Amino acid sequence: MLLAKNISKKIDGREILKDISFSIESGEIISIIGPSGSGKTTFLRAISLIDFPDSGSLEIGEEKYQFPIKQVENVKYPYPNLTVVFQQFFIWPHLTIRENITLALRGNVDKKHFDEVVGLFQMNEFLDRYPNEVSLGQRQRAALARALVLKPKYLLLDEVTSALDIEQSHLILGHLKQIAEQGVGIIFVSHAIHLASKISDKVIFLDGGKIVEEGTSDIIINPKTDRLKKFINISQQII
Amino acid sequence: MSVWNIIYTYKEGLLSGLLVTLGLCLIIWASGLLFGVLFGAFAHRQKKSTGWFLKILSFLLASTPVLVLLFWLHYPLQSILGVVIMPFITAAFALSLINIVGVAQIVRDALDDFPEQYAIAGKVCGLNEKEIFSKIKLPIIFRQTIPQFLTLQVSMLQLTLFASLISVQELFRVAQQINSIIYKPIEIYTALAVFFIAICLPLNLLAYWFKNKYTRNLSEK
Repeated sequence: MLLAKNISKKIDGREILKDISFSIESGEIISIIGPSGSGKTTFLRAISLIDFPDSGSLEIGEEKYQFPIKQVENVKYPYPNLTVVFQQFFIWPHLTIRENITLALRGNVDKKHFDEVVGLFQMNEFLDRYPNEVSLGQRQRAALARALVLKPKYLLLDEVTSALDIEQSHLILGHLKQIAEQGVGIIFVSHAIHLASKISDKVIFLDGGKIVEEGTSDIIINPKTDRLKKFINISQQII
Repeated sequence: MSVWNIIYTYKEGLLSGLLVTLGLCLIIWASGLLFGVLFGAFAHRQKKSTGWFLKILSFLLASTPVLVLLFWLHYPLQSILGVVIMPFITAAFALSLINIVGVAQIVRDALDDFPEQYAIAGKVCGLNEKEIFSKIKLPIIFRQTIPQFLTLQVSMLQLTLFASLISVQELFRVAQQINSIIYKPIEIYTALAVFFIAICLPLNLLAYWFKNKYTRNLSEK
């Protein structure tokens, strides 16, 4: 289980996250939705320990973290049990897609699992190309594959469908459902609320650094708060 | 007297000049590589102290013609300090200083511009600091800097010619001395040009090859 309690974070004196608590079980998919600047990415970076929260606590499996961290050098990071796929993917440009996917395996490639992941994302045709030689969608699949070959227990995804068209986004979300069924807990940050709600077990609506509303994907259909209603209305107008 | 006759007749003088030029080059290249990389790395890590020092030094050197620097170190400075230093050492010091600052700037800029997100992506994949440095940072930075580095080293080889003006017995000065005896400027300076092309062209081609091979157009589709 990944359990976050009272997570707060300030950046340049401004409170970006305010007292956020949530939990995720293995095999669960949670979507974090909210407008730009609501703190979604900061939240993801905080719970993945890329940027430490200022206060609160976090439990990732057996590991417990109390913030503020007193000795940064003694922190036992949860990677790759917990891993992150970023909005811009950050595929290493000097390595082929295959090398990108296998680098962190340090030569211990589980051939069967590797083939499964490559097959899942239909990557065979571009495995030996460099990142600048493949399309955005292919790079995105490579970033997901790079995370999945590590067999993470928790997968954090930051707006990974933002640069994709509806068809590609559907394809990826379908894959995420399959991945969750294998026992991976997925936290999915997105502003594509309707896509997100289709695959999520739980939806958290974040605004102004706070959880404004949370629940099953039904909250997208029947929002309780005016703020979420307004956000959904605006999103629908754009679609 | 043909070019080959001149080379054969004055082979000992030319060879000693060549050795002086190559010796000078080796000192300049080695010091640039060693101290330039260290200086650049420190300038990146300590932006407010070493970084500013490098900036000031590079502005000063960029504003001072090489010949002026060389002459100033050779005549006024030694006169002020009341010391006499061998011209070879003065030339090696001046040109090494230029190379060190040049290399340091290349290294500092590459480190400053390195997209840290690549390192974070490595971290969340479970790579340790050492692996991130050796497998991600170093190869990317190496590929970015090697063409600039090689081009700078070719320029440094060409700058060794200025050492002749403070009486360093390097290849150009030997060629001038031979010319003053036999007055065959076309043959002598053609031979000299061929020599420099023979060394500089492969280095330039190597830089070009590295540029094409490693600094491929990384902009994504």
